[in-house]
Amino acid sequence: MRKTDLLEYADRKVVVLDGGMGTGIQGFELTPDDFDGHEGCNELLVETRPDVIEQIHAGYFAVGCDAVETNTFGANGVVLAEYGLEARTEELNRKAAALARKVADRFETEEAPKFVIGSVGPGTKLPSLGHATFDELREAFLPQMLGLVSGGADAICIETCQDLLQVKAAIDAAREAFRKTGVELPLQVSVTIESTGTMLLGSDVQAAISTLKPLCIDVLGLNCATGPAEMKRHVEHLSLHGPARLMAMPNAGLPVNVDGEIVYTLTPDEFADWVEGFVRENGVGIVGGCCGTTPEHLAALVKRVENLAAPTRTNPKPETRNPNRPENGVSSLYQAVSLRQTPPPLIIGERTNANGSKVFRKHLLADDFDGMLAVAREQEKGGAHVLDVSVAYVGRDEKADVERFIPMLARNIRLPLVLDSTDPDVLTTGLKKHGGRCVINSINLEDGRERLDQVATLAARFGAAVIALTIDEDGMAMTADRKLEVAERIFDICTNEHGLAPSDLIFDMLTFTVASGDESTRNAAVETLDAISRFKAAHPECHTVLGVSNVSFGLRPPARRVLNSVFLQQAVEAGLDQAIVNAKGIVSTHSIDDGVKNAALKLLNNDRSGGDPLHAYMALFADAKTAAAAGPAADDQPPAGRLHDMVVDGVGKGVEEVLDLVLGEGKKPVDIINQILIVAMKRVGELFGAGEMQLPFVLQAAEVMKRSVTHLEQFMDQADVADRGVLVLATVRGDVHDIGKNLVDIIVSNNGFSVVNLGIKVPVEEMIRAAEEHNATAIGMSGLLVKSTVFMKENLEEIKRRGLDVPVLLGGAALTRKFVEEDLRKVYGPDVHYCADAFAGLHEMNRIEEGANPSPARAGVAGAEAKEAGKKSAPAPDAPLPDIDYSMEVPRPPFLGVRPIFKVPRSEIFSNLNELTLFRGQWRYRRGKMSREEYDAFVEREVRPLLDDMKADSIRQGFIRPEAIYGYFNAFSRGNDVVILDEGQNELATLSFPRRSSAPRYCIADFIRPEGSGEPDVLGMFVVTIGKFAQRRTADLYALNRYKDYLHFHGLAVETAETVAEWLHTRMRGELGIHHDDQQGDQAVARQGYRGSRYSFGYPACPDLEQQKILFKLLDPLQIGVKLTEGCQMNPEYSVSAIVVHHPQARYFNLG
Amino acid sequence: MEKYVCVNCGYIYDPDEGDPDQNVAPGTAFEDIPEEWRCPMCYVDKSEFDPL
Repeated sequence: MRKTDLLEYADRKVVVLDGGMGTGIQGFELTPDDFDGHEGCNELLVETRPDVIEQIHAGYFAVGCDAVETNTFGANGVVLAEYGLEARTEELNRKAAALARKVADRFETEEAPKFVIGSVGPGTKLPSLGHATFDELREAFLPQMLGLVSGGADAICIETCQDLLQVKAAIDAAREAFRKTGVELPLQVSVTIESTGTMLLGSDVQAAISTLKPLCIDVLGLNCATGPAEMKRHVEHLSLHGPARLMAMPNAGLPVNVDGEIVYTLTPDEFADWVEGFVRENGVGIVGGCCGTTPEHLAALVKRVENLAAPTRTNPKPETRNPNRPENGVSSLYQAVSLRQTPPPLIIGERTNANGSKVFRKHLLADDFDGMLAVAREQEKGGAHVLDVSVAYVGRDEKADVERFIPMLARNIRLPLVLDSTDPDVLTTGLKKHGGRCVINSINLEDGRERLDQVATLAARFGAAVIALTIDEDGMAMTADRKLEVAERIFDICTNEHGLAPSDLIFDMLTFTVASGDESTRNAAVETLDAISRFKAAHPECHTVLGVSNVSFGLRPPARRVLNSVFLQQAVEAGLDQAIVNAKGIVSTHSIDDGVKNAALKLLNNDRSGGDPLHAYMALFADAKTAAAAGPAADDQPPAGRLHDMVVDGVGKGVEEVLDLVLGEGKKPVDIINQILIVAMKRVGELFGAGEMQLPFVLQAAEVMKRSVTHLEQFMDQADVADRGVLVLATVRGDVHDIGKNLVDIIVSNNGFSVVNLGIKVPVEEMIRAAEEHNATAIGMSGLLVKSTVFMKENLEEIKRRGLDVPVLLGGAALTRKFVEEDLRKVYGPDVHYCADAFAGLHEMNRIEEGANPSPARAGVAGAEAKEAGKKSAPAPDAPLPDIDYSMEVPRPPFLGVRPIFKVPRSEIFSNLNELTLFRGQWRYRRGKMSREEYDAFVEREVRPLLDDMKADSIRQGFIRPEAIYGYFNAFSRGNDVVILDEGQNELATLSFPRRSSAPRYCIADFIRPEGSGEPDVLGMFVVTIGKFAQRRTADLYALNRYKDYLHFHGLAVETAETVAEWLHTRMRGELGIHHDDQQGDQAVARQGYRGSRYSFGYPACPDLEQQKILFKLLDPLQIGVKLTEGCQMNPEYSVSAIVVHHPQARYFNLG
Repeated sequence: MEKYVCVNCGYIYDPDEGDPDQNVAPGTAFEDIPEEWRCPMCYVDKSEFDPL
């Protein structure tokens, strides 16, 4: 009943939803107590501070909003589990809905009903990237839906959607809840289109429409990520192609940083201007606001639209279970493809089929899924629009193979899929792994209704299209009449009983060979064509498909190719929409000799006027080469220059089209790579080397390179690919730092080399094995830690011992050219090279490949440094110890022992980010040769907006979640050791520190009062982290080949962790009462303008990471999710640990 | 004379101050500092400095 309420209301007038909830909550300055120990869990406030949520709801109703969203954005089982509250999911949702309903009742009048929309956010897991399964998400959403329904919500809004597969799981859970409760609420879905123009995982708006419309949702819309200006073009697209009812809830503009605060800039009137435009110009009937919007924004909007009738659009009637809705197309995770191509037909690639393709089967049987993927890529060639995928093979576990292969296809292939299986269970598995809209292949009536009913139910549940074969209990339909009879029966069952739309149905009228000599099938082609044209006349909205090549079975390949091509043209003329065909096996009928074409037509039409048409046709091909196939038409426009510029400029959009043009010129893929793309990347390298191009733009160029090569790969043989040398690349044992190595991978692999990236913490054994296996041109080792340089040396010794004659490239923050070219060459000989950055690595690879000697200029530098080293003063172990004063009072800590801080305010952290090191260090936007004015303008124009976006995004999506744990201990020093005491003054643990070898011969222990000098000293310790989600985000961006975003997010994460560490250090100085010595100003932190020091293990004053174990034993940072790896580094990576010393003489020093 | 910032730690080299601890006299332009000079705070080399 309620379903009609909101939708009927929306069909009469414009519905105004509320604005930001998070924005409202922040305004209340809540304390940890308000969250009952679950700080940050806003969803719990409906219980702990219902007054706050009530006030926010009331604030929106009071300005005239028609509906509010419940405070349940993150109230699903997955997110609540992070607070240990998952068992209470249903209860919290029920309370939230009831609370909103209570407020709504206060404002509701006879004329003005007030609605409660159940808010369902995306959660934190992206199923398309394998973070969670469809079923896990569905289970997480189900109690949320049940709670919202039973709490009295008037609709469900699945919003801020990032991954279409996540949306499908949420919809599935909602429908299950409706079924269980008997209450069917309107279902709204609102996806988030990022400023990049796609959803987070790359789906464009049309992919979302194509996937979601067939799921019969009531409203589709957009929210979050951007302001209305950036959203406008997507709203326009929705208006043209979306379902009947649309919604839009933009942010209050793009966020900007004002004095360290994230601020949304649109005024209420500006916001209302835009959103009113959505209503009046684009027919959006349900509007509201997202991040940064307040009751003032909504008040302005209400004034504009309160008297407006529901907008009308030229587009379609409301969605119901069984409308004659327009064609939805099918979709990959990225893009939609219409089932009706102009010109027809839609080509369904057939080679990714274990029974149809020997190559594919060979890969499958060898468990070579990459090889299977390569076959799929090859299908994109020659114009396949959609891929038919079948992994059914005797003796294999089809379900397991689908479970593994479909996600690979979903992530890597831009074409939609046809899931081809006879087993409903396998189909279900496949559908649960794919975010886009698939076609199911197939249903028929061979065994009666049971299996057809099962599969049709699946099609409705997942919004899939379905292929129906004209087979019934009596077998395959041979004549046109029989084909129509079976097709009509299936049509009736699917539309009337299963609620599928006619446009969801694709009929295969089946065809049989006309070349067997068997009289019973001489008319096969004629019957099929007749059936297609009659069925299309009766059901123009249904589609037809045909496995065209069956018609020529038994003939030799050239004869088949011609017959298939001619038959395909006939079928298209009869109304065929889609063809299952090997795109490579079709030739243009214009290029076929008329005599041959006529012979083919006679065979297909069973025209006996000139004798047996089969014999005549076969005779034509008897003398081998009847040159029927023609080459592709040449294009006289040379687009090579455009391609070059697109790479250099980092323009990826449309690069495939330009590549196709170059291919069309007859240029081989390998030549395109070597003569255009690599030349362009070389130019990029030159620009970078000359300081004229910043690293992020280099990465953007590499993204285009990668995209180009991916597109070309399908046209290349395996032999073509590994043309240049192979670099075996690894971060050394004990080191988890990924980014430097990955940047080398990006640059080197996108310049035509193959890179075998072994990952992090790689033992030398593995490098040697890989180098032998891949016949490596060079081995590259990376490592950030001081200790890594020691491992590099050991590794070189081992490689040499094993007699491997391979050049080695080394890179990493703790390395110096001098160390490599003096110390390490003593160990390994001349073929070990220092690489200051990724391009230096590329330079070395080029040099090695060309067989050149090191350039004289570099030898000169090495020589100069060697001389310099000779002059360096020798270590002075006998130099006097430093003079340390222990006369000051020991500060009083506020407590002894350990305390966690589960929620560090992100806004505060971000406002203290060091933009100098972020922009210039992490992100590598150096000023270099620019003037200061030029650089500042560049930063404001190109860089700061990226930071503002990324900060807002990180907060909204929860990628950065700072937590900390810290403690104070009594301690005294004993020589170079620091002895930690428990509260009873018993010895708890001992930290050991090295002493500097030259004067002044500092040791960290010097800054702690020595044993026996009166009362014990106080030592602080901490671990801070920004959480595991940041690490996952970095990995995702790298996996998605979003190199520039990868560098940026990684940099932001590193700097944020550092900022959190400084925030806590400042707080600890305050608690110790030594903050009066804190200096102010830009350089205060960089120059240690404060009393004491914080020392982190692995850094110059205390390089021994093993000591981390003691710190971890004392603090137990597992409480905030931080663990130590075997190599004593922290996981998640974006964490900082330190000991905090208060002594005024404590300063950073190195051990040299 | 321009100030230079260490892109690793944020330390700013000010030619007016120099870096007396590492024998760089006040008034020394960044370009004139010996190549083996290191950031006094984090020990990265001169190539990690960018004009402010």
